[in-house]
Amino acid sequence: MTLEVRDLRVEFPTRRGTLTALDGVSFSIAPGEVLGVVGESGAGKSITGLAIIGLLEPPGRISAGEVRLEGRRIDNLPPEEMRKLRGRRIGVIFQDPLTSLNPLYTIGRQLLGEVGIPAPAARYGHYPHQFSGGMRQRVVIALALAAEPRLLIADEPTTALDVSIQAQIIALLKRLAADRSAAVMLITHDMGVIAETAHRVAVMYAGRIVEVGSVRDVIHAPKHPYTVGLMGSIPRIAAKRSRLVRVPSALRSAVRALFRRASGPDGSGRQPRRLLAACRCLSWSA
Amino acid sequence: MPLLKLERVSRDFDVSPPWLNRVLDHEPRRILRAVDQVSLDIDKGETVGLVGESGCGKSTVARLIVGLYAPTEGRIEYCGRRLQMIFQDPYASLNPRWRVHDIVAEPIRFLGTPQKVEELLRQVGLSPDDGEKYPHEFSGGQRQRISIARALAGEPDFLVCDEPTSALDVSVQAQILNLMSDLQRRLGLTYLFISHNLAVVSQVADRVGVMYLGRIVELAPAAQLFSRPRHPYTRMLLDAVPDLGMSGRPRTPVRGEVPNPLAPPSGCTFHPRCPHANERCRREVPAFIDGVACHAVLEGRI
Repeated sequence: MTLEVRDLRVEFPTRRGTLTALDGVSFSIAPGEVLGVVGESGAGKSITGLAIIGLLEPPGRISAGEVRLEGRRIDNLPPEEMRKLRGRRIGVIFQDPLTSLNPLYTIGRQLLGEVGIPAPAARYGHYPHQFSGGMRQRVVIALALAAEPRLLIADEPTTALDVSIQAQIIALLKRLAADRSAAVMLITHDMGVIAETAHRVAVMYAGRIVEVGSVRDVIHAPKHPYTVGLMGSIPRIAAKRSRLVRVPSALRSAVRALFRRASGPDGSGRQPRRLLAACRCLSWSA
Repeated sequence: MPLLKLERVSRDFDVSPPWLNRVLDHEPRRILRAVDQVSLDIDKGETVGLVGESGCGKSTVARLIVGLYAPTEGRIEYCGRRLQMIFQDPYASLNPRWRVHDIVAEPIRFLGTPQKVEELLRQVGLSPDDGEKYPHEFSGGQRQRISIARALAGEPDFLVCDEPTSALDVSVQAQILNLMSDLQRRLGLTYLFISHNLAVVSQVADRVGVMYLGRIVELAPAAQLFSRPRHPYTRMLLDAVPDLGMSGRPRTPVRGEVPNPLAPPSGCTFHPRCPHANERCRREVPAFIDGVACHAVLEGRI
């Protein structure tokens, strides 16, 4: 296994009690495998990715569980060690290609040819603003892959892009995973992207993985009621429905769970507005 | 008699560099044609979807219809009473310093009807007490409900919805789409629904127009457009949508990207990406005939 995550628990201590963002998350990804992670804003998808690469924003911290990369434990490494791992063994792709590139640097020539950007020689000296959105995302992917990482974490890589560009990026991700037998963790809220790209899928809801399985099983025969609702709420071109299924918002129920926990025996913490603000400060759904 | 009629509407934007730079560098004026000869009829009570990639002119059409831009050429006729618009980002379109009550009442503030605001909030599934709160106390979906309540305040018969669910999660998106179809049935509203998400448009629209570089290239009833697309660009778009059913159908790879609208290709602007392009496509702009603007379709080549 390239990546093993066991019983991962991430907490954000706040003045009004502790917010448990991840609660007992376990999964693994094999070499060459694409694991899709779906869920709504606030479900904990991005926090899972950030926890693995050690980029949780303080005061967030891993309070239990372990993360192993090719058998070696990485969640307790000192920041300096972790920094060496990032970029070299673990590549990361973020959602917005413009903010993840340094606007003052030009783009290296070798990086470009590999991901299918035409005329790499001419593009060598260009700056990020001279690229279109799809090209920028390809540059980000090129950067993430430059050091041939064993694990690639892609957080909403196609969300900011048009469908035609999205299809190209999906094809690229698939090819690179297969060719280099890298493990890919693909975080997205778009079930269609998962269906096209991933081998297995983990469905997250309120900080937990509620269902894991092969993409075919989860899409055609979802077991968990939340997954059933989620699948029903997605509009599809083939089958027009008269009504879309309503599922409870993950964020709202997570916050509700937090209230229950926060308004403990002493009866404190009954200030929803403050707590909601606290959740926002933690950039929980970032 | 259609409720809204666009007749060969075009809109140009002047994106020239400043006068001094133009004189010093001997540069000509640069005009960007964002919307090019768009004709569209919308009947009362129907939902017309408008799809296309970013930069194709969808939002400019929306802004032309509600009068935020004046057309450079062509005419827009509206036979209804009032139009309103719902914007994409419910975080940016609500004034954070105003109470919800004041936001919703803004279009009718001179009529002084507090009961009306309560009624409006109830109509979009919020509680009348929510009027006292500020926008930051609501989630994205609830904020979009507030924008809908505000849009309904002036009792419009036509709503222009510019990507109303693009900033929302799927489950919340489902709630908003359901709410919009309920309101349409109850109040007899007419929608122009703009989105880049083809699945969402197929869910809500009766007719769908596909835009490419400022032109409508295909316009057809939704069922027909999604089952039997005619224009090569529509086919490409539909092919690019990730397939949830995983039928394993062979996918034609998407070719290229949208060209620079400042220097659009000659003839049919889609020809550099089109697998069926020939000499005529490179030379001659196809006319919009019988719901599609494509030489290959009209000649029966595809």
